[in-house]
Amino acid sequence: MLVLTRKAGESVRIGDDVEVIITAIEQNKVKIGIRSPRHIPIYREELYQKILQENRHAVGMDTGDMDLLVDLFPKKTDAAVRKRSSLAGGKVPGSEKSETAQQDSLG
Amino acid sequence: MRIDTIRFGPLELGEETAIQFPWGIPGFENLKRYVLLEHGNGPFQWLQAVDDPRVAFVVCPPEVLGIKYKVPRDNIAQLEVEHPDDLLVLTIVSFDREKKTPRPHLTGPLLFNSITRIAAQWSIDSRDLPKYIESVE
Repeated sequence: MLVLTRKAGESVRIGDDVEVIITAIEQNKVKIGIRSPRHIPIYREELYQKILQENRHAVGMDTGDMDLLVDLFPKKTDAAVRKRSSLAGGKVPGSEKSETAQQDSLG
Repeated sequence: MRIDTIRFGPLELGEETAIQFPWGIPGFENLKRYVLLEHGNGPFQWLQAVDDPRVAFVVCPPEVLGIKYKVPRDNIAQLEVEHPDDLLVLTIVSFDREKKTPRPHLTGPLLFNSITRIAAQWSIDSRDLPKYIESVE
């Protein structure tokens, strides 16, 4: 790992488009400013690790989990759901059928 | 475009249905294209990666969970949302198999510009959640 010593107000340049500026140094805290192109996401490391773990956990969902989840919620087609539908590219094959079957068994 | 999925088999959807995540989703940064798939008429959808059959998230509008996000202006600006109505928020949900309860991933809502179909995950420090979430009836 490259370690550099900088004073407040000084900066470090990474590549030609990222600048890290030491804006203030307090007792046990350093304030840094980052100038970078928009396409580079910036996170606090611990926040990044947290969200990464959450996301990895979330992709473990299978269709069985989805069925159990759906059963826990009342069927809603409120405004938010309708608005969301405009982004949908399609339907999960067979997901409608299973619902019809459910309704049949209830009726 | 053909989308191979391990959960739903192969899907054939128009290119225009793709949603771009230019910054990726932490943990899956290499995947930039997703499609949103309705699951029956329920409140949940799958956000399926176009370029990895294994990667799909279950999502729903936060209102379904009884909450609403107050999205900061910076996040809206990042997605170049012009009109507030064009911003769509979806929460990732998983299922706790032991407790048999839904597990909403409140700290990582997904923000969509529904006009440009560009999206990003907003990562929130859990300590800041009360600041950004309000409950709805």
